[in-house]
Amino acid sequence: MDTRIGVSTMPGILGTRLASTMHAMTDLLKVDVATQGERTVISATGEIDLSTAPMLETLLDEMSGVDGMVLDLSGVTFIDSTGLRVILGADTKAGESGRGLAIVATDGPVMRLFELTGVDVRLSLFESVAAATTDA
Amino acid sequence: MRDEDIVDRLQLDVPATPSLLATIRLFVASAARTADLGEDTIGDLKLAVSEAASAIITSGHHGTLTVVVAIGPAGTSVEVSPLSSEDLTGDHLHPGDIVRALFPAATLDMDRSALVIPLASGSG
Repeated sequence: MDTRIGVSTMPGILGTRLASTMHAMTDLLKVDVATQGERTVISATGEIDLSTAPMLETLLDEMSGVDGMVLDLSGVTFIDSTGLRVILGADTKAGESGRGLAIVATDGPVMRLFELTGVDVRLSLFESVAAATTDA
Repeated sequence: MRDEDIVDRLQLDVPATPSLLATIRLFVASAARTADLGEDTIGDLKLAVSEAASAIITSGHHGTLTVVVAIGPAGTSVEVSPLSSEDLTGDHLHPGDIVRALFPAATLDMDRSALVIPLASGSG
């Protein structure tokens, strides 16, 4: 599988609101990292399964020391228990370090799996990035 | 489902590798639409089949993974093989638990080493 990880900095283009971006992608999943004010927003788009979850896990591990992290899953079109384990692992690490992890999930496959497994009551869930960056 | 009750039988045989999970889901969704299943049911089917297929792959099976969608007048069934009961158990998130939560009527056919998900006609 083709996997690409890249980092780009473009303060001149987007100013202080989005100071830098990082992204990683496979054929099925794209993950973008951006800074919004004091929050770091990790946005996943595509499918999270056994083939793509390791890439997301690696990126979340690398970002685990960051304060005010928001994981935006609103662009995820499929997720299974492999992906859920990665998210729960990141949430546990964030909780242990006292940093917290805000998760954006709207109606769809992500919320379906969260509710099915009962983790929706454990996670810090928001309906939009705006809500997460305001309230997280 | 008895053989004489099957109108259409769609089968996918692929190597048991993670990179083909998306192909498996695409096959199941396409076949389920042929059976006029609803989109909510199709979403659940994709999850259940992906859980079963992932369990087969993570168990170390390196051969062929088979998915069969059998469509008949009384309903549709989806089978994933080869799967053992050990494959469906794991750590704190059992694939078998997720499959059963999605489809309580799902069973493991030990003779054929297959997860069988029966769906009534008009599901979803």
